[in-house]
Amino acid sequence: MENTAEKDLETKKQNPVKRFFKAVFVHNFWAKFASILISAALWALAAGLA
Amino acid sequence: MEQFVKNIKFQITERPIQSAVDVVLFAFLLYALFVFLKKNDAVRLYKYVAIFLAVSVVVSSDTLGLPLLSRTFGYAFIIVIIGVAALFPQEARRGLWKISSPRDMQQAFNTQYDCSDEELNNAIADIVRASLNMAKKDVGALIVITPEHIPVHIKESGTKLDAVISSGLLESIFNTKAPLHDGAVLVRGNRIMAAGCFLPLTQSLEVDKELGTRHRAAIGVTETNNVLTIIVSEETGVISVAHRGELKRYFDSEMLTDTLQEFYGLKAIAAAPVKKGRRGHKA
Repeated sequence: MENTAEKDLETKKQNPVKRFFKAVFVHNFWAKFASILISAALWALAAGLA
Repeated sequence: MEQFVKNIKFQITERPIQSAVDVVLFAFLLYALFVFLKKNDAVRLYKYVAIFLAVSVVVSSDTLGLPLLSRTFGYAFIIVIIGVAALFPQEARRGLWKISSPRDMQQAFNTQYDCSDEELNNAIADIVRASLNMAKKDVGALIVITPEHIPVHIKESGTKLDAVISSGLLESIFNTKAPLHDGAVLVRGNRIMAAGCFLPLTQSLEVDKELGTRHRAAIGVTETNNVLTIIVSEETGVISVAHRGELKRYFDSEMLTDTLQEFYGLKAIAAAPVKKGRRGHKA
């Protein structure tokens, strides 16, 4: 939560494509991976038992 | 078992796009839940949520033929959402407030003042000057810049002033020997509405342990109100700004002026000629 005003400015100046890529694929990677895995497992259960 | 695999194969081959969208969207919901639980230091609940959802998928399937359990667990995700909202009422309220309020500062501050742009710019200059002077002298300060809708219990917890802002007045209020120094100053437009006001403290676990009650109060009031707070640390003299529950530190004169002008809706018109009289700040 805490952030410096300078860091905030630096982040704003970064390439938007790079920022998007980082936000989607790099940041919190394992949590995203686990969510997809759990989601796929639940989908398989639901589809299999349909 | 054979039928189970056959069903999955059928779904993948016949409806590949729908299946992929289904998985990705559900993963997105799970990830949002994970982020929420992580922010509230309750990640351990995540595995129970996953287990609960798996059980609900199994018992609500038609194959097993369990009508009662099927009906009950059919609403599993709604039960999870209600459970989370019941466990974290403050966070749920804050989340809804964040979703419903506009992100852009100028849009958020769609307020009319009984003063001209010049007077607002003077008020900003006075706030900045007072903040810098207090930072130099290591005098703690907490200034809340508010639009009209600040909860009454906050406004009435302090002493009503209704005085035009000046750097001298702000510094006098926060003088450690003055009776009103222990609390927040509420500023609207170019006037100090009240001083010595008590603010709700944030319960967020993400706030740095080194930061004291003043910073917690500054963040707390911005979590559920459209206000901007300026904090001068008594220990370090660092100037920080909190808005929408986020704290940014190490502000200098220029950055503070820019932020205040943006919040007052003056940023885009700072260089334009000054008009006298009542006006509204539209985005």
